[in-house]
Amino acid sequence: MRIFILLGFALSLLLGGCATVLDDHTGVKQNGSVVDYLYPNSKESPSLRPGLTTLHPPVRVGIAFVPVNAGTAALSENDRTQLLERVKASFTGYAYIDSIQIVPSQYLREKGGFENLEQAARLFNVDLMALVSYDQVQFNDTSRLSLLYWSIVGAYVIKGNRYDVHTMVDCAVFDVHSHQLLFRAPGTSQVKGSATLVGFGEEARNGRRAGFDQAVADLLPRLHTELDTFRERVRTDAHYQIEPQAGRGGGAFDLWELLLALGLVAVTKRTRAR
Amino acid sequence: MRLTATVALLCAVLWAVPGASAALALLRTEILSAPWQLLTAHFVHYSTVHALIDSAVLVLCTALAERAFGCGPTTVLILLGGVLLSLGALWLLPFMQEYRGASALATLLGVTVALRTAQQAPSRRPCIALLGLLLLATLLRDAWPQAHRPSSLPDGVFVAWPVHALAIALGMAATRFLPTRKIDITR
Repeated sequence: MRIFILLGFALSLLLGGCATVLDDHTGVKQNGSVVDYLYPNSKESPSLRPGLTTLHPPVRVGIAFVPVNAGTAALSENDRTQLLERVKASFTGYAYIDSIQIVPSQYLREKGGFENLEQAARLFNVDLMALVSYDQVQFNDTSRLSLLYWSIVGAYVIKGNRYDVHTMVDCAVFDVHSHQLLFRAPGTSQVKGSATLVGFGEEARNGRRAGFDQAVADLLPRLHTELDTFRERVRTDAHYQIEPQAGRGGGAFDLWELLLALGLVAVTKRTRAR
Repeated sequence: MRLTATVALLCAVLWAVPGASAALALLRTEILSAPWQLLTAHFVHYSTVHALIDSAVLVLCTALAERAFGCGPTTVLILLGGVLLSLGALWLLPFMQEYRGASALATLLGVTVALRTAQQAPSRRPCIALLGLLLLATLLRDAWPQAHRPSSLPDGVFVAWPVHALAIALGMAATRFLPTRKIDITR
């Protein structure tokens, strides 16, 4: 009897050890930083570039994820494209935006700087680049239920592992010509969940994906607000100059001409009354 | 007022149908393959405000012209004037790739109505002259390099004021050829 108890104790220790090995307590961190991309190997802050930023609406906008730092896990290209499509949708419907193009990750290289940004902008024929950066941290913990993993079956049915995913997504829009940051909008999310020992990897991956989804959903309304604010700012801020592209013309009336037309109606009516 | 109702309906439908404005605008590169753009460009607009204000003035001026000249001559004036204005826009503004807006056509109609009124009712000439001066003032305002862009136009679109000037000239010329209609004072 004593031998069975000892064997059981040893087995539980063994499985506990397995659970500890399988469970990544360090968590997962993945990020892509705008600063790392645009200012590689820079030990000093980027110098201020006072001057006039000239915009030629309707502008052509490119959207891209900043390249991921080496050694960190990243979203798949498919996931990136889906998220960028949602960001792209938020840029549509503005008269001062002509076209929006998604720039695939392959066209931006890690720590490429503004030189690489200009290359991609020329390639895709865009005036502005919206760079989407992100920072995601996943914390992993085990709950008391993980004790039941010793039963082997428990590793399949008991959700003893927990994850907590914090995501921050940031969309920064740059004028490619002047290198000027025009505006930015952040989005954040926190996703919590639990999983069995066996299914933890997949569940955590889904959690990280959901973290991105929710962060982008949080980003979009802020991006709309920033777009509207920026539109008003360029009209009043002396650092911005708007030069319409010569290509689009319109015969346009204002309320003043509407009053003139009403004046003409009044004049002709009086004529008839005489 | 059949023509006025048709113009109003046309402006409303083209504004409401998604994609119609882009498809029917005057595009320099497509003018040979889609010559109807010479006319349809005057009934499509860049924005809702642009469509509302321009269409309102066009409908008003069409109603006045239809009363003054009749349905047939006004229809000819709109069709012929629209095409001539578009051709003039392409010639006067060689850098312009796209054109939309009813204002030039409305100006053409308004000028013919004003001149005909001045011919028929001399006592109204001072008022007509004042309206003409105000119209010229708006033209100069639009032509001024630092002019404030009309709020109805979205960013990135310039006012094609030479087309308005052409509309005034065409309106002055067209008045000579338009028939005189007996005015019904009971209406």
